[in-house]
Amino acid sequence: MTDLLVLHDVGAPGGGEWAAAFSEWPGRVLTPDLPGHNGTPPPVGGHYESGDAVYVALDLLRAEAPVELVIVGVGHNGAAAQILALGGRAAGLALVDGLGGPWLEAIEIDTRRRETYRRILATPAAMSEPPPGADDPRATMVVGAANWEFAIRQAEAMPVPVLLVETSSSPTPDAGELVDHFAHATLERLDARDPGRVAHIVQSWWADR
Amino acid sequence: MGDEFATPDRAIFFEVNRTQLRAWCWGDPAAPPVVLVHGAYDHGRTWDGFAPRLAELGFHVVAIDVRGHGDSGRLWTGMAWGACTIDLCELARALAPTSKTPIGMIGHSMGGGQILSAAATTPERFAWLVNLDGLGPPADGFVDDGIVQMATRSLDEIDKFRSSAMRPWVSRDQLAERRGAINIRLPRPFLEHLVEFGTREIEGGFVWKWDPAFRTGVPDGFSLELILAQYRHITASTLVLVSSEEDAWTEVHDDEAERRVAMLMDGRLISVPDAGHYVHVEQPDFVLDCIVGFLDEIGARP
Repeated sequence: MTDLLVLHDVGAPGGGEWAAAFSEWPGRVLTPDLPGHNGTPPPVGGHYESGDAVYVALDLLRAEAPVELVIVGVGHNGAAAQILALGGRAAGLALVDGLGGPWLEAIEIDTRRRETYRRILATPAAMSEPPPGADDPRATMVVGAANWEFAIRQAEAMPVPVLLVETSSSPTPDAGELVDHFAHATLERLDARDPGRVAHIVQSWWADR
Repeated sequence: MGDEFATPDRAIFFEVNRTQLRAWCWGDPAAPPVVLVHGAYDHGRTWDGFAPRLAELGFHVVAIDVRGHGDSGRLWTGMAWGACTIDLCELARALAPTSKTPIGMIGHSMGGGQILSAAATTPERFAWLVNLDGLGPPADGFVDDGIVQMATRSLDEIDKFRSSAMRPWVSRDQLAERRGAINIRLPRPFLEHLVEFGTREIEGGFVWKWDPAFRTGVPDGFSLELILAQYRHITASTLVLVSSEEDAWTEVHDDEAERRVAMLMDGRLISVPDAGHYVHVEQPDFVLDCIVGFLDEIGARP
């Protein structure tokens, strides 16, 4: 039996919508509310990084010990899902608008990073502790994956089958080009990021694999 | 060799950026502030030999324990570079005599990189910087053994850290010995001082105060180009002092240091003779003379 782990996007309502969408999945479905979302406290120290979901996932995987796992990474947390798959924690990977982008030069990435820091500094609610149980505005103040060369390296090294679901919400300008860099990838396009339709596609892809 | 240490005049905490930073202070609090930022695995008391001499120049010296080190706030992951950068930006604002007064910062090793990041983020808050052997890894330090290997190693390290407690060492002597085996140029009195204030006693022995989460992280495409991209935003006058001798954790020197410093708007580079990575510990007189000369040059000496 294959279990499923969904890492929801930053700024999303939490994992609940994905738990509902994957109610027909034949194995266990793990859909954690990530730090700062849906009442889950912020990470220790109050800041958010691209690797946060990796730590949450590893804690969960140690506790649940799945025999076989498919990981779904949504939006920003496609980056975390890719690292987990590269590091041998998944038998299959589905990225929902999770490839990263738009692709930027180092100077542009640096500019985006500094602008994000300045936005945090200028936002009182991001510099102080959020009230318990409240969504944390700082959770969305993260710098997304924007390094094309790194994206290519990840794709070319990916050791497991990959499903790419690209919707109108995707930040990736050229998923069609990137898909060719994966050894085993399938690209599906949707007009909107609808969890129910995404779940249907993921479930069919894994069943037909 | 810096092996005389003074107790700080004051020990306080700053609440910044959702964490608490321990600060060890010397000199008149009304004097122009200078913040000292230590390197990875160190703490603010490593400046006990150097900070009083800066205070004698007329500064209010504030040596912090960086987030995840010493007595400061704890970490969730080791991916805290950005948070530490924001900490320094906010600390500079809190310490500035007026909202329009930029301050000085001195950083060693990782702390040297941190002050450059902070000065690139909020250039208006920093007047001058002294970077002590902290320009970051050399170019060949970014060569890796493959992304699958890096990811696997990172995840295994995180699993290990999250599922096991830090192993205590029997004695502080043992910790000093071990650290001395890594940083072989550090004098024994400095190692003992580092351990005395950088460790805490738990059942079964002693552990470092630095947060074990600091050692963990995941690959994210960090590159030399990203380090260098920020330099063009640093308006603060900057003095970079680099080691001249090969040493553990030595960062760039020689031609590569020259190339990087040339990217700063107002940078100058000095190689410290007969010094490894801890230039200010091995050659405190030389380093202090360089700093005084730099401050005189830019008119920043009180």
